Amino acid sequence: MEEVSTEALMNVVVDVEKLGDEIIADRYSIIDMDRIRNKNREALSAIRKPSELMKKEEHVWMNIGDLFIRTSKDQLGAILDEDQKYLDNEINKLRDNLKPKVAKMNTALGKPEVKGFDLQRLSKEEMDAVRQAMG
Amino acid sequence: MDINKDDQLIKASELVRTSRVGVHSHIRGLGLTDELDPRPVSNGLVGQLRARKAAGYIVRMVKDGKVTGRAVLLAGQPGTGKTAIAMAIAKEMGEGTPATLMSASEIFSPEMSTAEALTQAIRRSVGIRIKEETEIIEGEVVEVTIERPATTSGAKAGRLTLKTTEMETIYDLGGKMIESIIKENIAAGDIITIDKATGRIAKLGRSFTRARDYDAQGAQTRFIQTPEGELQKRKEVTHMVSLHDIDVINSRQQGFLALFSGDTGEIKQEIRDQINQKVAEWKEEGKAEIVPGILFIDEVHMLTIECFAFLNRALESDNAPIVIMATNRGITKIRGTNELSPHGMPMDLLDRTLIIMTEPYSEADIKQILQIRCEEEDASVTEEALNALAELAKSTSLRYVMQLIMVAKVLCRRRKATEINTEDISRSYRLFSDERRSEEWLNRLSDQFLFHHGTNGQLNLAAGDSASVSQGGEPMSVI
Repeated sequence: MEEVSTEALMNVVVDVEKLGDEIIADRYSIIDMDRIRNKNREALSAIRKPSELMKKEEHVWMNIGDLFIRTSKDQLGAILDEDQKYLDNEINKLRDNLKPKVAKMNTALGKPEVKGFDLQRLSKEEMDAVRQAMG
Repeated sequence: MDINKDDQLIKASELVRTSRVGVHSHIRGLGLTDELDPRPVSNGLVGQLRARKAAGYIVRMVKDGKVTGRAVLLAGQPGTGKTAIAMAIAKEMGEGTPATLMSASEIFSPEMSTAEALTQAIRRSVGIRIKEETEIIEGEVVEVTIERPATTSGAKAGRLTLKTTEMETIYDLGGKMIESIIKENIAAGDIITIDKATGRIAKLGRSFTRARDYDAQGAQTRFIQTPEGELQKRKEVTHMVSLHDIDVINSRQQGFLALFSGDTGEIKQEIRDQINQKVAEWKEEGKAEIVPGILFIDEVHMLTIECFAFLNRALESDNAPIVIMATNRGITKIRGTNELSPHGMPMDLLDRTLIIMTEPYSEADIKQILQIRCEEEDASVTEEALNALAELAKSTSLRYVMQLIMVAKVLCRRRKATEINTEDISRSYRLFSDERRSEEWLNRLSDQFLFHHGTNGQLNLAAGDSASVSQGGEPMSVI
């Protein structure tokens, strides 16, 4: 074993901790955003397949935090659609960024890199063809 | 009488099944330290320090993926551990690398040309790593409600409530999803995944929190934790397939069933070209990684000159695997020619191979090996008996003595002892002849046998890698 100075060791530990914190923070924002995404989806399907009561109403209530806002169904639908698109995008962006971070933490920890981690995915048709080969 | 018969039947079926012990079953790796220094006795290998260290470097090179298209030759006298080292290399490479072990005589078959058989072996030893990515919804079922309309014509409606440890949400279900939920028998407490692209539902198991719901549950019920995190997840899986597998699929007239029937027949060159092109495309787009593995050809002197020429050419292509060959021949004729060449291989191929030589084991090594084999075969031996075995190995051969262990074990059990002693060894030595005694006996009674050629006769059978080959003829010369 080669000698490692306390300072160098501390640096490594600090780096790993920083990376770890970032990864955890990202994971939680993904979870939070997915929660919102699912609530939005429920709201959207409630508008698209209205109950008997809702069919009579022209307007609906939208709840944001402590605030209730009365809007038309169409307008709410448009808002939610836009929100969903934004959330999908953000989640994908976070996921894509998560990978290099995990890889970096693994190298900092001295773990072997995961094989095939940075591969691009195969398209669905390509995967179907290959799946036959795997039985 | 009848009852007795039944009794015997039951006894017969209750026999303890003993697993078979292969000649190289004790080998678990090359037994090297992280710095590639060989430990004297480790992972079932003994001695051969230089050969093992050299093999270690090859494994390291292949693992790093830095080299392709190299050839390695393991050369040495019979019974010096060539196959053992090859097995150890394969073990050392681990799961992630494709490795094909074959004997050179396997490629000669009436159904397939030798070139085709070699190509298939080579392509079986090259893997490609690919990644699959799917969006799935994974969670525990909280509630399923399916409303059936009173009339048969109306559409069904359903709702599914799913949760993870972090969130809970309700999905409206369409007709198709309702059907598959009914088919899969999904109920509250099940943990399921839904593939977003295909809508396929898979049941993973039941939630731990529901483990005490019922008193009687099928043994196949699997209990798992409620999933964590988000409901809609991205799942990535990497797969490894060999080029040969893909060839077989695309060789249309056979279809993919050919993979299982074992008879793949010949594959057209155009198909291989197409696949090479596709794989190159994937590599360019970052969709696939090529993993060159190892192809081990034992008894390589059995290949003909055409095969060697073919190998020569195949090694030059990109994506070639590392070819490890083993031979126990000295300077001998290349098969299919009248030319003499070292190891029975043409010079041009020898030129591009790295040659690892195995040396005869020392006395101490032989004793070590015998001890390991005794442990592997679950036979306990006294110290004197082990010495006697080692002594015998000097005058006969290592392989012969290794066979004696099993015989001695049976003899030892016959006299209801637990440890094999020298008496067991000498009795088994008398029971089974080694090749030298057998030869002497043949010579002594030569006039009573048919077609006898004498000791230095031309009838030197070209047998495989068996110890009997080196016996009658000239001593091995290793270059």
